[in-house]
Amino acid sequence: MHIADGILPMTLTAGGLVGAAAVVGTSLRWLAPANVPRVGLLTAAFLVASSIHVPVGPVPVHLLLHGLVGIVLGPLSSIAILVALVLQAAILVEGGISVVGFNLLAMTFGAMLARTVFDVLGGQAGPARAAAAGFLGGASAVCCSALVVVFGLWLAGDEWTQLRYLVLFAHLPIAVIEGCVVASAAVFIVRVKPDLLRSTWSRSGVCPLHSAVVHP
Amino acid sequence: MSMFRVLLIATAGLAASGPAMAHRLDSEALPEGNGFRIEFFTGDGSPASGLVVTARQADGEPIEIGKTDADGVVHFVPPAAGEWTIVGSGFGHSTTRNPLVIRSDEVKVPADTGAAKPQAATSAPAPASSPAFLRSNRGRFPWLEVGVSLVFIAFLTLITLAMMRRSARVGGRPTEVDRLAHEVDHLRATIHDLRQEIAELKADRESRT
Repeated sequence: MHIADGILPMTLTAGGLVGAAAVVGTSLRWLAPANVPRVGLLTAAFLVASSIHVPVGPVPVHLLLHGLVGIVLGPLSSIAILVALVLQAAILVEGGISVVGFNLLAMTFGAMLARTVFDVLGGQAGPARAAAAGFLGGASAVCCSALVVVFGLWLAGDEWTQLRYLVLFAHLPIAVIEGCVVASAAVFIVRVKPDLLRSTWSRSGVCPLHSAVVHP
Repeated sequence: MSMFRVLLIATAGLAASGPAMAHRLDSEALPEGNGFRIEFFTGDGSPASGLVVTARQADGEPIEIGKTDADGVVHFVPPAAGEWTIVGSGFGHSTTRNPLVIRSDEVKVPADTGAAKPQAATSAPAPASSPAFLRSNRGRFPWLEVGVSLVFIAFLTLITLAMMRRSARVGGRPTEVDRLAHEVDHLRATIHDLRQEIAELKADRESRT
């Protein structure tokens, strides 16, 4: 769900960077040392999922997984997404550094929507609910992120009409696939380690590591 | 952490079946005989086949060169001398923003252009489906585009921040690790108190002796 350099108008590019700075800055305030390994792990999963390409027409395509990132990381999602997007631009030549702000906003919006849907539907209550909430969360994350990208391309001008339709319709099957992946992952987590979905993100830094290191 | 290993493997397997992103499209040209061999490729270096390629001069109408083959290649013989801008588009992608510019003096341009002249495009205008106010006012009122973009970004940022705050509030219940850490803190405080008490007792005993 990333737009390459040179497509978006300067306003969206610059505004996206400012918005992304606000979102990542807020996430960093919630980042406790105990959660750093979890963020790293989900970043790796996100990057691996997006680095496996299958050519469709002239462009390669891939899965997203930002719904799972949102459900597991909650308000820390933007940190994982930022690192993964920068690595994608630097290593995989996808997206771009200048548009990383807009891409981050689109992806984090989807991730947080997945988390909100998951919470509202009570996905932590049991495996059955986790499956339903995970599916809807994962699918809605893909759809809404795609709509954000389509709106950005709509503002970018007429020459991207075909790309808008491609982004819109190509993400319908991926939403279903991603919904299934997130649902199975959510059921697995709820069965094996439900605490993973109820992390403590405290602004005051109250976490096990903090209390062990600062107040031994 | 084996749980995550399983998740990663499952995810990587399923990733092979998913669609669809916006990737970079690029092109390069090499002189070849009387014309150029123009190659189109995607960001990862694979050839972009099936693209419709057009060429135009600064003040001329675009003319269609043809479609790229399986190797992403199309051949172009400039029908007239001068600078030509080459653009490839198709499957929702285009090199409009990074067009290839070639100069006909890099190759020998045939005097009689009739034989090598590419087909002229019959219809040039692109589909106009972007916002009407951007179409009509682009360039004249850039502030309108700026305003819509900024409102969109601000809305996106604020709604994302609101969902983040909500998720931090809802999901911020203490975990098992937090409870254990709290217990450890409590035990440490108790040990600390007991040590102080022992020290006081020792001091008391020494003072008596």
